[in-house]
This record gives sequence, structure tokens and C-alpha cells, in this order.
Amino acid sequence: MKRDFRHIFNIGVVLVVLGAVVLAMGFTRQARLLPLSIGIPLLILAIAQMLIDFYKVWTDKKKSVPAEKKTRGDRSLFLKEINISLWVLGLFGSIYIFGFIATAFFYTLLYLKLHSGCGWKISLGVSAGSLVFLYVVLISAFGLSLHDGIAITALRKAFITY
Amino acid sequence: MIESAMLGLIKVFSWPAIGFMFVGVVVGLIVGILPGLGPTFSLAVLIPFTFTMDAASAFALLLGAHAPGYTGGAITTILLNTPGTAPNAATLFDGYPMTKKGEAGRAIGAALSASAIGGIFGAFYLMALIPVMRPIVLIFAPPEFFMLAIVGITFIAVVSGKSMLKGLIGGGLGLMIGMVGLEMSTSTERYTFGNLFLWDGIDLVPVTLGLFAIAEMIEVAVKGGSITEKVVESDLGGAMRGVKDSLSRMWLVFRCSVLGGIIGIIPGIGGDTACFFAYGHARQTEKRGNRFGEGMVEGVIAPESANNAKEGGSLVPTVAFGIPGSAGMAILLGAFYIQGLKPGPQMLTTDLWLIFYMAWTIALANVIGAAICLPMANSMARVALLPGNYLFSIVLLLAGIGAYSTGGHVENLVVVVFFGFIGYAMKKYDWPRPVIIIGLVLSRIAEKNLHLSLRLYEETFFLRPITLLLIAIAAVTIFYSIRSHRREERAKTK
Repeated sequence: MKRDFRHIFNIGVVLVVLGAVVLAMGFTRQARLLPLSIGIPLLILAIAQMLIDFYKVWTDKKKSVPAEKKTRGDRSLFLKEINISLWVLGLFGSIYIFGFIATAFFYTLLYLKLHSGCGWKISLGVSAGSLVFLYVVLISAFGLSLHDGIAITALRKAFITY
Repeated sequence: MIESAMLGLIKVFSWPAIGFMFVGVVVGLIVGILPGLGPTFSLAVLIPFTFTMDAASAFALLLGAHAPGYTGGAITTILLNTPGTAPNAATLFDGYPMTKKGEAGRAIGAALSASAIGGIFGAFYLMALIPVMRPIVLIFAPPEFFMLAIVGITFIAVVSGKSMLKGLIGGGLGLMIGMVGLEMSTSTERYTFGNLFLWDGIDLVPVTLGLFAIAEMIEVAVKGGSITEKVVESDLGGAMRGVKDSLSRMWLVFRCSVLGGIIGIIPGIGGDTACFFAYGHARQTEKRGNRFGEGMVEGVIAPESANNAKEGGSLVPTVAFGIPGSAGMAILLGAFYIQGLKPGPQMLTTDLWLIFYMAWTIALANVIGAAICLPMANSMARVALLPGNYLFSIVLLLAGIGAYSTGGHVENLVVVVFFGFIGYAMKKYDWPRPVIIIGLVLSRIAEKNLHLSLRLYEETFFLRPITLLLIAIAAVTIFYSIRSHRREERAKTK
């Protein structure tokens, strides 16, 4: 499975570069000068890397790890990666919807309690610490303007009348 | 001139300037440690406080915050593989591997001391250049800028690590990412897909935070446990070992500081490149250069000494011509006007003491910054022992804040997540990530100056003496890289 994803990544790189080169053809003469002079050699290199990795798999096939053991380990790792990726997406989604302040407290609490299985004391302590740091140091002391979140902004608009 | 230098020195130690400098240093260190918020942010935050101050106090506060900002940035770079500021990215190569080896304290000690010494060299460099500023700055024109960018790009081959092919592809991808946005001379939209946010291009900070901070935290969370299981030295021992490392490699510190100072002096090249140049130079010239990337202390000392030295250099065009060499210097230029000062040749005669004062302030602020952090270095190193679960949400949140603060665009959150996943995949499949940053930093510099050179000097632009010298440096760099890669390959097969 690990090998397969390596190939998917390599193919992804080739496709991205190919797309960039094709798009560059439509730019004006001056604008396409550098994208093409970098993109075309880059495409060749990316294809070479992809072929090298394919060749490695082909030669490694004979001396591979017992299939069942390898698949089980890879699947567990893959599931962990999906799980963490969802937490990462959840954090940034939450920042977008609820803003930094609400996310700092609630996301940290949820992550520590649900994902990591920490006790209430530690979960609440770290979450409150994050919130205090964000509010006191970044917002109050440094005057940093942070994203409020579309939900919070909408609520504010709905409840505050002029 | 000596009188001006002495007056500047006396003013640095006068009250309340020294107090303001101390406040500035503390703010600069805190901001530097926070990923994505660099010294430019410190200047932007502090400049409103200078409206009612005299010139000495104002510059003490501003330069006090600006000078050690990169010193603070080195700490997160070493501990969390997350560059506090973009120029710290070059410290990632060996700083984080040292943390993984349990030598975080030593790495921080080396970074702090190299930064302080580099900062002092940079300040003296500024003072030494005051009489000859004009001819030096005027040597550089678009062809030289373009070739300097090309020399920087050739360093991609040097820092590629195990696979030069992957390094070159990564660097090329960085260059392509740098081309997103409006083409500068014709305003042609490139790779924007009709999105207004992409017109300005993709910013360096969210890309850096994604590739390193997010990717690293994903790995720590997937793997479980902490960044490292061991801390080799306890108490102040590790940090002091790092300090000794810097002191015993003074020639390397000096060379990299000079390199940083020279690059800092050139407006338009940007200080971000100085650290990569220094790292590439150290890798090529140090005895154990082939082991760079495995956690060599020289790989931390070289970029960190260039990092702070370039600040002295970048003040040169700001004070001598009123041309800011970086965003931070542009804000500082604003401070000159607030104080009723006019940067330019006139300032070199009427307010010479102030230029010396600024140089002394940079030197002292760097020393104070290192002195504040050094006793805490080993305690900070213990962050690497914290369970990854505690770090995960905090680092991710800080990365989000850093990305969002770059221009206040919510779209940068998408950029940081996207590059986070790319960074994790690159890490997993052994692709070097810092080369993307080199490509991204140099892309726009190279393109802008190529077009300018072609317009001003036509196709013969590369026949200028300095340009020819830079072509030779680029050729030697490529030759050396290929040779050392071949040697390494041969050694492996044996």
C-alpha cells in the first residue's frame, strides 16, 4: 500500500507540472518565458523520478516482506493518517466557521479529551491556557486582528441592530 | 567619524534608550518564537508607540525588537521543525535532526551564540561600510540580481540531501509556485483560475508553515509519543556545548556573517536567501559537509550567523539611499520620517552619530537577546519531550494564526492546510522540503530581474564583470554538488 501511494504522489507531481506547462502555453510571450523554461525540464525530471520508483518496485518484488503482515501494518498506519488528517481539516474548518478564539478552547478540549483520552484536568488546563495566551498575548498585547468566523459574524449581524 | 561612533555608543547606554531596547528585545523574541510572526510584525506593532519618543528611544525600541527576532525564530525551528520566521528555514536542515538526536539544547545554544556573534559582525560591518556605501551598492544592477538568484537556485542541488533528482524537482516546483499570480511586467494572470486571492501570488509564510509545522505535527500525531525520547545533556550543559561549538568555529561564523551582510546590503534580493547561501557555503567548505542534514552543529551555526548579520547589511541601503531592502526596513523607513529624519547621503553627514547608534543598538540587542534565551535553552529543549498530543492543537493553531496574519486573508488557511498535506507526503516519501522554499523565495527575484536585464542590456547582460563572476560561482557550485553526490553514491556501493 505504501508503494502505491508513493506512485500516486509521483503521478500527482507529473500531472501538476504537465498542467502548469499546458496552461503556460496560453500565456503571453513574456509571461510564459520562465514557466516554460522551468516547466519543461521539470516535467522530464518528474517523469524520470516516477519511472525510477516504478523500476524500484519491480526489482524489489522478489525480496518483499510477507504480504499479510505488511498489509496489516500499512492499513493501520493509513487509518491513523486519515484520522489525523480529518482532525487537521476539522481545526481549519472550525477556524473558518467559528473563528480563532472559540476554536482555541473547544478544539483543544475536544482533541485532548476525545482523540488523546487525556483527563479533564489536563484537557481543560491546556485548552484554557491556549485561550488565555491567544487573548492576552496575541489579541490584547500585540493587537493582532484575528478571523472571527463566519458563524460568529452572522450571529453578530443578526443580533446587533443599528 | 570616531566622535560620531563614540557618541552613538554613549547614547546606546543612556536612559531611557537602554530600557526601551530591553522592552524591544523581549517583544522581538516572543514574536520571533511564534511561527509566522516575524520581526516585521514586531516593528508594525511597536511603531505607533514611537510617535512621541525622541529618535534615540524610538530606534532603541524598534531595532531592539527587530534585531533578535530571528534569534527567537531559531528556537521553534530547532524544537518543532517549524520556522519562527521564513529565513530560519535554512536552520531546519540540521537543527531539527539535532533535536531528534537529543541535542536540542546544544543546537539552541549554538544558534543563539551564532546569532549574537553574527549580529555583532553585521553591526561592525555596517559601521565599516559607512564611508564606502555608495559605490558598493551601485555595483549591483538587475543582471547581478538575476545571477545572484541563479546562484541561490544552484544551491538547491547542494542541499537536496540523499536524492538530487528529488531536490531539483522540489526546487522547480517552488519556482513554479512563485509564478502564481500576476506577471509583473505585463500583468498577465498566471495559474490564478480567476481567483482574486491568487493575483498577489502565494505567500511564503503559509507555504513554510504548511510544509513544516503542519506536516511535522501530523507525523508526531500519527507516530504517537513525543518528538524525541531522549535529551542528551541536562541543565545548562547542552546549551553551553553549543556556545563552545560556535566559539570554536569562529572562522565559519565570520565567513557566513560576511556573506549575510553582503546579501543583506543588496536591496531586492531579500534577507531570506542569505541563510540558504550561508548553509550551502558551509556544506561545500566544511570538512564534514557530506554529513550535513544529519544533525551537524555547523549546519545550525552557518545560517544563524548569516541571519542576524544580514540585518546590519540591510540597514545600509535604507540609511544611505532611503531604499528599504526588506519589508521590515520599509517600516523602519517610516520611523525615520516620523522622527523628521531624511535617509540619504545627507544623513551620512548631519546625523552620522545616529547611524552608528543604530549599529551599536543592533549589536547590543543581539547580545541581550541571546543572554535572555541562553539560561532557558535547556528548559526549552524539553518541549521536544512533551507528548505530541499537547503540542498538536497548539502548534496547529499557531500555524493558523501565522498564516492568517500574513495579509489577513482567510484563504491562507486553505494554503497552509494544502501544503501541510503535501509536506507530510514529501516527508513520508523522502522528498526534501526546504528546496521548495528556496525556489519560492528566488522565483520572483529571478523573473523580475531577467526581464529588466533583457530590456536594459539585451542578451549581453551576462557579460558584465560581476555577472561573469557569479556565473563562475554557479558553475563551481553545480560541479561540486555533482562530484560530492557521486562520491557519496560510490561510498554507499562500496
